[in-house]
Amino acid sequence: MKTLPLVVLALSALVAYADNRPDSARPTVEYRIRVRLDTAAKRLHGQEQITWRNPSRDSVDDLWFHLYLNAFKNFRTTFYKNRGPASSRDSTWGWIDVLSLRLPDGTDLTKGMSFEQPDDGNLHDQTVLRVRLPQPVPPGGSITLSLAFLAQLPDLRIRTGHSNGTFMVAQWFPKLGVYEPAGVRGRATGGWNCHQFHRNTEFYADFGRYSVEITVPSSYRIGATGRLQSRKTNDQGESVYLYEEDNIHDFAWTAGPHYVVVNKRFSGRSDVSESEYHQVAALLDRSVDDLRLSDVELIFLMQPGHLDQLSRYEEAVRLALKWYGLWYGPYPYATLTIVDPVAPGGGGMEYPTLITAGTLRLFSYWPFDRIRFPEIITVHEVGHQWWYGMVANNEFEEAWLDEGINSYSTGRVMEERYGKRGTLVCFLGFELSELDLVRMQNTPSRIYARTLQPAWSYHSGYSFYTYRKPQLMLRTLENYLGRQTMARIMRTYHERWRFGHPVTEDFIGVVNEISRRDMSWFLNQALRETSVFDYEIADVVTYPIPRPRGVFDSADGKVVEPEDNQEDTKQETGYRSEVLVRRNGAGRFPVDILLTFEDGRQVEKQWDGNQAWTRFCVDYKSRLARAEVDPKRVLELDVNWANNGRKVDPDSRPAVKIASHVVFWFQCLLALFDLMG
Amino acid sequence: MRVQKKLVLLLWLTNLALALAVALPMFAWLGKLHRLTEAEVLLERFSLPVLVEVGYSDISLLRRIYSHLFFWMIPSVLVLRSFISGGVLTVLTRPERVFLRPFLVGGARYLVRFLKLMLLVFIFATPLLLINIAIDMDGVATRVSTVLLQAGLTLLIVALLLLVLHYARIETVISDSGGMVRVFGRSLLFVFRNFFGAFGLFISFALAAVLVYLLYGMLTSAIPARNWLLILLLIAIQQVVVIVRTMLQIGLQAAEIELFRLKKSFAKPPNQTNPSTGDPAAALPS
Repeated sequence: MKTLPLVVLALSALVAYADNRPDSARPTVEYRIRVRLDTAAKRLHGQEQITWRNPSRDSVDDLWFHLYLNAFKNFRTTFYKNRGPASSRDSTWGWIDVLSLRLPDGTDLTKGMSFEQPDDGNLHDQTVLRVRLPQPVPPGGSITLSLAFLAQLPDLRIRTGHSNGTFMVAQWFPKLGVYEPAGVRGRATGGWNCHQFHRNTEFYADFGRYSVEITVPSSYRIGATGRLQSRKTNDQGESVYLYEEDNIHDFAWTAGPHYVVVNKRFSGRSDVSESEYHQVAALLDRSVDDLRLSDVELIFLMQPGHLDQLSRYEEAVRLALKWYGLWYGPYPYATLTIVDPVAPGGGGMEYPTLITAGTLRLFSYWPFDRIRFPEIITVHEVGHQWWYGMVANNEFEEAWLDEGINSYSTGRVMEERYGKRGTLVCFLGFELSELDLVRMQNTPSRIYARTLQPAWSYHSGYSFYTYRKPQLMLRTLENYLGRQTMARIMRTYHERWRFGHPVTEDFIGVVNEISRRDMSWFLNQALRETSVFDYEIADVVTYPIPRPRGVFDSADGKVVEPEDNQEDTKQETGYRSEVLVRRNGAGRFPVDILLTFEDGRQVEKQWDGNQAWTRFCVDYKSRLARAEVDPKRVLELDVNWANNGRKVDPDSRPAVKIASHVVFWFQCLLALFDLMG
Repeated sequence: MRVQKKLVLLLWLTNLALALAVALPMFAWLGKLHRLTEAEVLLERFSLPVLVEVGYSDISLLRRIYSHLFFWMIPSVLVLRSFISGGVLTVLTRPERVFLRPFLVGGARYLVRFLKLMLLVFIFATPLLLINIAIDMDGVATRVSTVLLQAGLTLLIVALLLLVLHYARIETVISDSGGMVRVFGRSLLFVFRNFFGAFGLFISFALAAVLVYLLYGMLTSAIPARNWLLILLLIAIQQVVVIVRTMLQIGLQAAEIELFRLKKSFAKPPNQTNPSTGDPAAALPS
């Protein structure tokens, strides 16, 4: 009977799975774009031909487009309203106009255009365009549109725009939303999923085929999504590049006169050792041949001042391609372009087959070269090729599915290379891991939002709830189920939803199926509730067991203890130890309790963790030395590990050592006043 | 040298007493570590996560204590340091070997003047630092470079104003000047005229202090202070570092006094005839 819900879950997941997978032979969308970059005016002049296939059983009488660049049009857009007070740096604006929109027979569709604000009703926001069609697109039918657009690029902000003559061109063309048939991602009726551009939101689009011809000045170097098919020079002496790719859901490019282009190659033979293939094959219970990785052409576009950090980027890219490829499935594209952004405002960002990473010149020098931000950012952004690029959840509505899962994966990759303790900083004896940093952000006050809520609906803490909390949740899951089970869950989830649009229920379904346990009780708490987890050893006492006192029945009749009825100072051999364990947060999780006695013996107890507290009482010949709840630190989501263990007898050495440091550094601080006072 | 040793001892003791007073509330907070098993990590290495998590339990109390503490502690420290500075400079500028009386008299005598000087420096520094922060350098540098550039400029401004403060105090003590605005102006001129000498002295002592701290870092990272003996050794090393740092501070002040005297003795007031051009037949002063 217990397995019935699991079977139902698995079946429903399979039904949804079948609906959400794209048909690679007949992609839902096909874009053919010609764009010319006007470097003086910072504008894009584009022509676009879109073919859309109706994937539903509905007749669809409108099309919805994203016009993301309009987010930067003025301070009244939803993007700026979310963002808070405007910055003086936002001095140039970005926008996009659809100049013409026609059917192949010449029918003008511009009269049927209107801006929609499905999320917040902000009439000033023009990031979603609706186009009413003269004839509905029948089920399974398709429609082709031709449009012309003019886009103004703003100063570089959130990875889009221009800076110092370099252009980062992302979210730049009129792009269709996703028509979701009834049943897909829990929809009752079919309809467009096309959200406005908010401060925190990212993207969601159908997989399709892209063919993009880009015209830039001949002195510019360019990097773009997909494979470069051709390069020619036009009559004006400009360079015309043609890029193409299949099975992707976005297209980004960059161009600038200062980039230094470096070509490298990732090899499935030389970058992955045989022992690594065998190690992962054993972990996943697959054959080594199933796991073989193919070669990938790596194109680095570096800032000249960062060239000495190329090796750091390169190592991180190789690491990511290796471990993500081995654990989740091979990278399916021929190229990967890594852009070293012109300014930190460019930041790390993911697009299909193209990422922006990020570093500072400072990180070239000791001791800052031991700070591994460039590596972490690069691994993370490459990792998005799997979680976002291939497994393409709706980032507006369930951002944790890519950011959270990818943060978990990034941490695992970094640990494979740098060990557990120093994945973030490691110098002068000071080590800090990325996981430490994440755990420090998980405070008892994280009770005001949930992970599973639309990305635009956070008042604050978006990055914690979508990146960090899910990362800790998945770590907890791994500790609870075991590394091998977790690896198989992640592999199965990836394979099942590769080139698909999963939802949270799909992930939970795979977890339950592969682990053969219903883990919804935990995942729902972590994702859908605001609870925090915190278990504490609230008290420990150990005392000699007193001899029994009173009247006792025996074969000889009633016996009074002690016989002389005087105050009894004797004791039985042994001690009674009592441990009070408390659950401070609303989150519930089964925990172990480890009791360690002075003679070294250890006793392990289990608690389901459901009640507010529990008490353990153990009689043993030796005194209790310490008690720990969750001694193996399974529950990474616990907001405070410091209260997980208590000693019976105090030990002041750690406090004195820290106190000596505190006094010393106060003395040093006061010495600074010597200069002033 | 005996006088300087006494000064170092006095400054070290004052420093320790003040640090203990500031750190006292934290001791109660650190007392929580006594029974925590997680705290054992701290015997092996510095662990920020453990301290942060211990902090969660009572961080509001600590914050409250320190907000009150700093409210009166910083002004008190500045007043006390002005007093000590007056005493130190008085002792260093006197040739006699007496210590305590000139120290106390000098401290009291120059306290108000030194506080006025400090106020002048703050008044002078504030607009400079505000302008520095407000300058938008987007056109010439990226955002991070801007921050680094502005941080560098801020440090330079602070260092220059500290130098002005130092030489103003030295002039106050040596010439027993009373008009602090004039003294401040003269010191400003002095620092700009003798920029390389003054700045070079300051930087060389600062570098020596950095070297001491680096040595301390290397030494303590090599000592795994797990038992009481090693913890006591660590404390001893820390206090040696503070003493060396104090010696450097006294050394800097003594060197600055020397530089001031040297440069002032070469400076000639305008229109003053050179004594050597007088009547060669005149009698030599007795």
